[in-house]
Amino acid sequence: MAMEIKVKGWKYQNIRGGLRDLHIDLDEDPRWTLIQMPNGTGKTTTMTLLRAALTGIDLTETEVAELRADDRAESGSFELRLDIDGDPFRVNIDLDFVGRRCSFSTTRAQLQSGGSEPGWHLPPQLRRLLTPEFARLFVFDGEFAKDIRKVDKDRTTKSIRTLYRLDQLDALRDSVRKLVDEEQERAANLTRAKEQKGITRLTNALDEAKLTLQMLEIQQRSYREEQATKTKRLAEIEKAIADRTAQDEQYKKRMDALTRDVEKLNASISDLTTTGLTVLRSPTKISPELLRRLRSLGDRLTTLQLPKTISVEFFHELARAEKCVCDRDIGEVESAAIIAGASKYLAEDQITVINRMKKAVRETDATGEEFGESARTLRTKLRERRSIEQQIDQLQQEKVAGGDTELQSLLKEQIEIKDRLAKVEQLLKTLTSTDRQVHLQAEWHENIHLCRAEVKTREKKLATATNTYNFVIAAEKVKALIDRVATEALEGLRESVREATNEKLSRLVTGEPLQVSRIGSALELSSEGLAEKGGVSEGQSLSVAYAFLTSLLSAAPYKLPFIVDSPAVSLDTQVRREVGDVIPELFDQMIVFVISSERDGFADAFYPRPDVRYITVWREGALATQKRDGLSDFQTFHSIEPAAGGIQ
Amino acid sequence: MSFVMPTAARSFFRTITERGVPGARYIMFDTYYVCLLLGLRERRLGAADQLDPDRFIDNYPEDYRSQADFIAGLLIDAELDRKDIDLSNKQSVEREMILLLDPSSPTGISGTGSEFLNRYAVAGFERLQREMMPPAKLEDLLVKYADLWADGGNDD
Repeated sequence: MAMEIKVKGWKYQNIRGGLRDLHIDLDEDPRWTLIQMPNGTGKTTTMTLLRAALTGIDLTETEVAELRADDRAESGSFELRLDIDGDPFRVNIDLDFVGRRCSFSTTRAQLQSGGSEPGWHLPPQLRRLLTPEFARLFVFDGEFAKDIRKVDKDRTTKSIRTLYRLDQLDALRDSVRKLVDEEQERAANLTRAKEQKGITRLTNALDEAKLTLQMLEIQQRSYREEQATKTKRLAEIEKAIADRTAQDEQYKKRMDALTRDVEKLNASISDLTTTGLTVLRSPTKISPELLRRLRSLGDRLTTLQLPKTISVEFFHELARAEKCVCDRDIGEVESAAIIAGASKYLAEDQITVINRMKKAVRETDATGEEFGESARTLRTKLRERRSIEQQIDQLQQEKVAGGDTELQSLLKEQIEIKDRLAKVEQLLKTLTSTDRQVHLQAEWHENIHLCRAEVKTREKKLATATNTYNFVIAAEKVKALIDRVATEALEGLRESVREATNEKLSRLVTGEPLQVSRIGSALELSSEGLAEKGGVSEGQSLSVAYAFLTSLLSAAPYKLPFIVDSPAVSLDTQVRREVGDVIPELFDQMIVFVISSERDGFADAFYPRPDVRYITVWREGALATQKRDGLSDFQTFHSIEPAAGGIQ
Repeated sequence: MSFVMPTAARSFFRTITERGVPGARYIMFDTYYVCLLLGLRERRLGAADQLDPDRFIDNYPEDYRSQADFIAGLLIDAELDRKDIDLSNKQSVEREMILLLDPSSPTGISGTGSEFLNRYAVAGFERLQREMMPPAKLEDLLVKYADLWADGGNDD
């Protein structure tokens, strides 16, 4: 259902043109209101104030200054009363002539307090409609009649779009774009791929990771099989070697003793390595040099009395105080200087760190020799082990030299298998380890677990990119559909407004047929002989504007009042009469400001109508403006004779 | 910023990191630390472009928590020396400590301080690379590292 807006009246306080305290009251809801105001009594001012109250747009400093009743008036106001779908609203513009400012307040029935609230608060759905541009359509500006035929102004299409809410399709399109942006932003955390090329790249990357994973799993199986085979073979070899050497008692005895020594040394080296690593992790135990440096630093800081006992926090507190510790006043300059100087001091927690460090150095019982000693012991054990390993080699070589070629062959194979098993064990560890330290070293294509994680990451990236891509494609389709709806709706509306305009023009403009051939960015007219006559007359131009406006407004989802200033002043009498006959029927509420010269032909066309309110406003000299109601005064008023008193 | 590994150090120490030692757990931070101490001793900063692009750890691992204050002290000591700061000038020394320490960071060392630590680790690693082959066993590393400290820090 169309939203209906009616003007119920307005009130001036201290406004130029003598409008010191004047009420225009339309509570009886007349369909037509004719207000006769001679030039200079504030018609243009009233139109400006009505537009401001309807749009909520602040008046400029100059506009406020120009509204001032006289130099004595420090403030003024304009109040517009409206009925919007049956609810009363009151928009008040308070004018501060000294400060050249204006402020709005709104009173509405919905306010529980019943009072007014600061600001302009007409219903939200009107806010988009009631732009200054659009208000010129129904608080009718004479310039509009000319502008709607100027291509560069693009008023006609803009008016249709605003009035018929086609701009909501733009908002819908924006929402779709915003959703796409959000989706892409969300996806950007994982991948920047938005196009098919990017999807292909991610698909290939995923295939590569999956293939690598398969290869790694194959490698793992292969190494495990090799490990099992070689371990079995090693056991066979070791048994064969033992069998051969068992026959030589002397040899066996010596070999067993050496093997026991090696095992003992291995255990000892393992312990020493563990201890050595622990000692290594303490800087004070690595070298006397490091310990000396730390102690020297601690001593130096103590000598320098660092850290100071006064911290940066002390100065920040002091800067906020009114008086210094020396009882001098601390002003802004002193406070700024103290804060600037505070940065040269350590913070309390920094002081704590330094004190902790000094204490730790002071209290450590390290000598700095610990690591060196541990390494020396370790080195001795390593040498001992190497010596025993050499003796074992020597013993085996003696046996081989004694002619045991099979033993030589077995020993050779044993070394080869041990080397290979160590290598395979290393490869398997890299391949299968779940240890974080190993993972920190390895690449994803070297370790099965890292590779699985990589496959998952790439799957997620691809899924995200694919979803985003599909989302973008779908959004493009929706946007194209919205564009099509917008274009077709606009075309349909243009055509229906054009047809209605032409139907009205045929009644308004008799004689030569004047028709709108197209509504583009302006109204394009067609009329035989138009070019020869140098275009349309001012009266015809106004008729076109009225016909267009009424057609535009009649089917709109809003029922708006039509307020017009001097509608017939530029029309010749014949056209006035036609306008006067046709226009009234076009609007549900029409407020017309006229001057006395418009009565003939235009205003008198209203006289036979029943639902008309006639108001006459006039001013005598510098006195305040007055008003009278009624047709009689309206008809007899002579504005050109102010000295004789307006009303006869 | 926290701890960033010299790029080439990972592969240099890879064998002992992966092989491990029964009873002892050699961790990535050990690698960083052995490099760092040598760099601090030499008072030389390595090039920042010789560092990994990303940090490997934000805080000291458990085994090193108790050493945090000593490491901070060694950093202050190295920086005072490297910048040739007059140690009798209280203000200069204090300014350096303000620059290097940030107790609100997990390590207690400021972003600038961490950057210096990492670059000292680069310099230390360069020294290690010149002095030894990639260690095959942890025991070899310990013995060789002790030799380097016993040498008194001369690089020739």
